[in-house]
Amino acid sequence: MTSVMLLSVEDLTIRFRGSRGPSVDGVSFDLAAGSALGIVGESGSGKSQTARAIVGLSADDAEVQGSVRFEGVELISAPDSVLNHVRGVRIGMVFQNPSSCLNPYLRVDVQMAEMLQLHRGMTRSDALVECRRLLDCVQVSDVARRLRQYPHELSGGLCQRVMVAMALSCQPSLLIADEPTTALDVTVQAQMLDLLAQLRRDFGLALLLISHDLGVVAELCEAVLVLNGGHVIEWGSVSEIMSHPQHAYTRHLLACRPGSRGIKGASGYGLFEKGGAVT
Amino acid sequence: MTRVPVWQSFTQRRSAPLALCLLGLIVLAVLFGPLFSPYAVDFIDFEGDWSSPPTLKGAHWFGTDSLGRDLFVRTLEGGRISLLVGVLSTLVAAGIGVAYGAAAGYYGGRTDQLMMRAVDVLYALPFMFLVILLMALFGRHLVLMFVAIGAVNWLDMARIVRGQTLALKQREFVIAARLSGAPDAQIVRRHIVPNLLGVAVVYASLTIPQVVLIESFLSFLGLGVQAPATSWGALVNDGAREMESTPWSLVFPAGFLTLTLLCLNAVGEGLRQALERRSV
Amino acid sequence: MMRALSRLLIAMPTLFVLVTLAFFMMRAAPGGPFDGERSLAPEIEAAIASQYHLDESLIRQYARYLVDLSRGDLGPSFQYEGYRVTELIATGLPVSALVGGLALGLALILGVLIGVVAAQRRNHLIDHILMTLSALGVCIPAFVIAPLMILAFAVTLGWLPAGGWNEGQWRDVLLPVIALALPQLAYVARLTRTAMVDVLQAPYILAARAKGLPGRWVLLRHALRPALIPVLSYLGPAAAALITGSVVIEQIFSIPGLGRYFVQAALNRDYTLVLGVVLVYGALIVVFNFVVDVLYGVLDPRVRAA
Repeated sequence: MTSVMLLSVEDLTIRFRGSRGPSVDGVSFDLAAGSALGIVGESGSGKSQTARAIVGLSADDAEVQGSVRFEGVELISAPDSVLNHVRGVRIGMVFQNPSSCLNPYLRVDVQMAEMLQLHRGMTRSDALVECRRLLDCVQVSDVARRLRQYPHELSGGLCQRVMVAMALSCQPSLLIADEPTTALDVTVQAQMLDLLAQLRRDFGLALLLISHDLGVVAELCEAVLVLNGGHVIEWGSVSEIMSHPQHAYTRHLLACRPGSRGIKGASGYGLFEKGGAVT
Repeated sequence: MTRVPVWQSFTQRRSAPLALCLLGLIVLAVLFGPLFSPYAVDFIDFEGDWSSPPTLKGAHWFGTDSLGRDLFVRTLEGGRISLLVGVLSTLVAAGIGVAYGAAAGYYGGRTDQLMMRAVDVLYALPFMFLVILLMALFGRHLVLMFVAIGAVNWLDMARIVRGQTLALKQREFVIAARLSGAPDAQIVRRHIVPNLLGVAVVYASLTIPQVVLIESFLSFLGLGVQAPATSWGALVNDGAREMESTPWSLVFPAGFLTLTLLCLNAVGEGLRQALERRSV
Repeated sequence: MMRALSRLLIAMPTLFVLVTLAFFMMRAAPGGPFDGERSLAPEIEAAIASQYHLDESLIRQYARYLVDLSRGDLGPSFQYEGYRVTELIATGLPVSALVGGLALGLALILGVLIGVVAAQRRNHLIDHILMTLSALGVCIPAFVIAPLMILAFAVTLGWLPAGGWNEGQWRDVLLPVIALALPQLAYVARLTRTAMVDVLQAPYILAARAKGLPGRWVLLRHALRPALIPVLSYLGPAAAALITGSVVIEQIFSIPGLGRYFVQAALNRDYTLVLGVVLVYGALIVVFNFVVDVLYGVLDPRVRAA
């Protein structure tokens, strides 16, 4: 079955030099083309490490074992030339803190155009035209001005749109989004989720969404993988896990969602009701 | 917050303890080394050859210079002066810096701003020229040198100490002391200054090599210590003049000076990192 | 730019303080410019004193100096009879500037290069070697390295001259420039490495790598510029250190620059020449700090906006 999978991760284990146990331990999952998987867990559960290891961007002192096959190519211990092509062209990546992920010393157009020039061999002027189109796609207004600005002149939401536009600029088949909405205001979060959903439909993207928030995952993904302490706790369809969490940890995550009321037996709900009754 | 003892943190780096041991050896050699040699600093050995190379057979272990003076004794005696000036000038600088910085930080507000603005202005002055001038104009008193070098090097210390004092002022025990009506001078003396000592010692240890460097620089120019006393800078100058005939008269003082500076820097750097790790 | 200009305005009083300090310090020192000569007849001594206005009150002399200074005249030299201080500076400054400028360029270019290489190969053997060497380089003062280099390359190997100055031929310039540059080079290398290691941890570097940009491109286009900011901050102190260093280097290599005048003039109580050299040094440092301020704006868009 693995042959039709876009991405299949097998027994991924990450150890940091000097630390006792592995921080990611034997994680395996598959992702079909065009589908969406959410990886959920608390901070330190290894979800970001997993995402970074997939594209070979683990920290220098990390030892990565296991197998990551993407579009039929083994990525673990692949040479830099292969990895650079995969990272830039086939897999787009979006990170948690958009304002600090854009280089503060370079203008937006420079940062967007360099990808197009390097990966798609465009001339600078062609690249600038394409930059405008891409920013239009992610619904940025006043594009000409935005392109000439520096990151510190943009809001967090705008920065994240620029990041998404860059991630999509070489028409990847997979987008890895590592907590793409966590650092944004609540209203902007909703817009960003809508945008990601729409881009998925428009471009037929597969999505690997990393989040601590099951609600965000439920909105965008069909499947979910729950990580705790570097281990896979549960893996299944979103509806299944939301309605019948098999594991106490998953129930705990569900209960922690802000505004979560629909889960029976989740602690906190009952108290809330009682409190309401007294007043 | 876990507090790693400074010493333990210091010894984690391999280079710093090694440098400290070497430095200890150098200090011992400088203090007691001359006692083992039969010669005095300005003794001219008319019986042996002038400009004799280093040898382990006779007693001229580092050889003699072109005047027939024993280089072993001269190098170590020179080290005494260099290190003495280094330590004393640093004490002067640290004293001024701690007093100034603690005062600015403790009084805060307008006073603080005024005092720190003055420091900014002084920073902009090319002080080394003034020290060179001072030494060239007023002759070569050792005391003048301490004061001149010390007066140049207190600025960094003042800035660091002020920052620390500002932070200390917010701590509970200082606020408690103030609420109990203790006079300012007493609070500064009893509560602020003792808590500044760690930082002050670390930055003083980083000042020593700078000061040794300035001293040897001045002595090299002939503006430092006066003959018959000598220092490493003066010896390097002598050696540089005679290096074609007696290269060892350059190599030994230069080697000692460099090694000492290296060790002092490594120890200071090690202390600073240990302190930073502790306060994180 | 506005910030840089306002800094330049603040620097003017600094120069003024410097000159005033040097003026009165010199006059407070024992001895005078004509002490060394044979005891002169009182009337001749008086004539010389009145020719140089030494018979006037100190305040008048100071005022006279400032007025002349505002006209760009630094007065006559006491030691070099018949020369104006401006003439002496005009012959010495280009020589010093050539050696100092080359040393600064060498220190910056090689220092940054070494720092970048070490940061990129962090904790590898090459990093350890480079950083040990630069720790050594920071500690070895120019006046130690210079005689050692003469001993090695001039006396023993005979490749280069031990000193002298024939209109600045490269053979004469090479050793002094290297000796002057080495401590600064080592310092810049350490500074660059530290800054570069810091920058390479930044999220935008990870993001740039995630864009599939080649390593060298990330290093040069994304990481180098922010890593240069601490180096830029060091330019002012570096200039001061180079000027101080040039005082000994010019003496060791017998280079007819400003630095050699400085100590000699102070020892000979050549009041006007000392003041002139102090003024030039002070102005050089002011100009340097101005250039640094402007360059901050060029390097960092956030400063430009402020």
